[in-house]
Amino acid sequence: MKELKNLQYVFLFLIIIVVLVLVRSFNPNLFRQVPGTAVESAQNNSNSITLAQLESLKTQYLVINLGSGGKFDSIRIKNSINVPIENLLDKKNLTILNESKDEIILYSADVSTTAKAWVILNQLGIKKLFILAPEENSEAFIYIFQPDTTVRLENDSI
Amino acid sequence: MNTRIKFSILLIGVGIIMAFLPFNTARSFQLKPDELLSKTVSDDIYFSVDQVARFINNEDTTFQLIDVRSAEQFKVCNIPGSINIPFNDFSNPKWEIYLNQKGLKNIYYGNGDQKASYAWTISTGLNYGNNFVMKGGLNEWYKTVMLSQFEGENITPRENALFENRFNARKTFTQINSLPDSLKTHYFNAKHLQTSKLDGGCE
Repeated sequence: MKELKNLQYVFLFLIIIVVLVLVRSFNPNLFRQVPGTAVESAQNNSNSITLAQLESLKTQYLVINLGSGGKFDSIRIKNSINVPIENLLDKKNLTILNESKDEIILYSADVSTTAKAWVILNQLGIKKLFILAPEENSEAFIYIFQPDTTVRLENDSI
Repeated sequence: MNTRIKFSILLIGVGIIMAFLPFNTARSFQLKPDELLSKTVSDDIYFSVDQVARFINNEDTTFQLIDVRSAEQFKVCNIPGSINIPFNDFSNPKWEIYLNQKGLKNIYYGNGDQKASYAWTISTGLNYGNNFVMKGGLNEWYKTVMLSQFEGENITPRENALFENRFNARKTFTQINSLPDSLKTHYFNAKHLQTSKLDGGCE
C-alpha cells in the first residue's frame, strides 16, 4: 500500500494524459476525417447527383438549400429545408445532419458555396452526402484553344 | 521506491496509452469547423480574371497559380506560370511543399469553380496560409480575357487600361500555350531578356 502511495504522482500524470486523449477523441468541435476521404469521394463527380437522378431516387432524402439573403436560390426543390451556409454548423443543424439516415443533398445557386460546405461536412464525418449538380457541367472546358502556329521563341517575335 | 522504478512505470503507462491511440500518418484539418466556415463565407477569397491577368503582366512573384484540372487538360492550355496539381491527387503529401509556402498567395483554378473550391477548402482547413480562388475558372478567363473586344467609338482611359491588360495577358497566354512543351520553360527567360534590353539594363 505504501508503495502504491509512492506512485501517486505517476498515476496522476497518467490519468491526466488519458483524460486529455479522451477529450480530444470525443470533441465534436474538431475535424476527424483526413482530406483524402474528401478527394476520393469527389473524384469524377461521384459525390454529385443530378436533378433527374434525384427525382428518380426511391430512397428517402433530405435536401438542404444553402442559399441566404440576396443569394437565395431561384431553384426550388420540394421538401427542401433552408440552412444558410453561415448557420450550417449551428448545433440544431448539425444534429439534423448527424441524425439523418437518408441521403443528404446540398445545393445553392453558387456552386463554390455548395462545394465548400460539402468538404466541411465530409470532414466532419457526415455520411451519404451529395451535391445537387448544376444543369450545365461547370467543370467542362467549353472553349477550344487554337494555338498560334507562327509563334517562335526568337526574341524578336516575343 | 526509487526514482528509476517510478520513471519506468511512467514510461510503460505512456507506452500503453500510445499503443491504443489511433495511428494515422495523414493529417486532418487543423482549423476548427467554425473558423473554417467563417473563412468560407468571406468574399475576400476570390480574385477576378482581370486581377490575375494583371499579376501575369506584372510578373508578380508573390502569387502562385495552381491549376487543379487533370494533367491532360493542363497540357492543352493553362494560364502562364501556373503549376498543375490535379485535384484527384490533391491529398498526396508530396504537394505540401508547393501548397504551404509562406508569403506566397495560392490562387486555385479549374475550368469552373467547383474543384478549385474543394481545393481551397482543403488547403485552408489544413491551415496553409493565403489561399484564393480565381472566380469563374478557365471558362471565365477565356470569355473575359481571350475573347472580349471593345465595341464603341470612344474609349475611356479606364477602359483602355482594362483592355490593354487583357490584350497583354491574352498575347502571353496564346504565345506560351502555342509553344512545344520543351520550349515553354525557356519562354520566360527569353521574355526577361527582351525586357532588360528595352529597359537599357544588362543581361
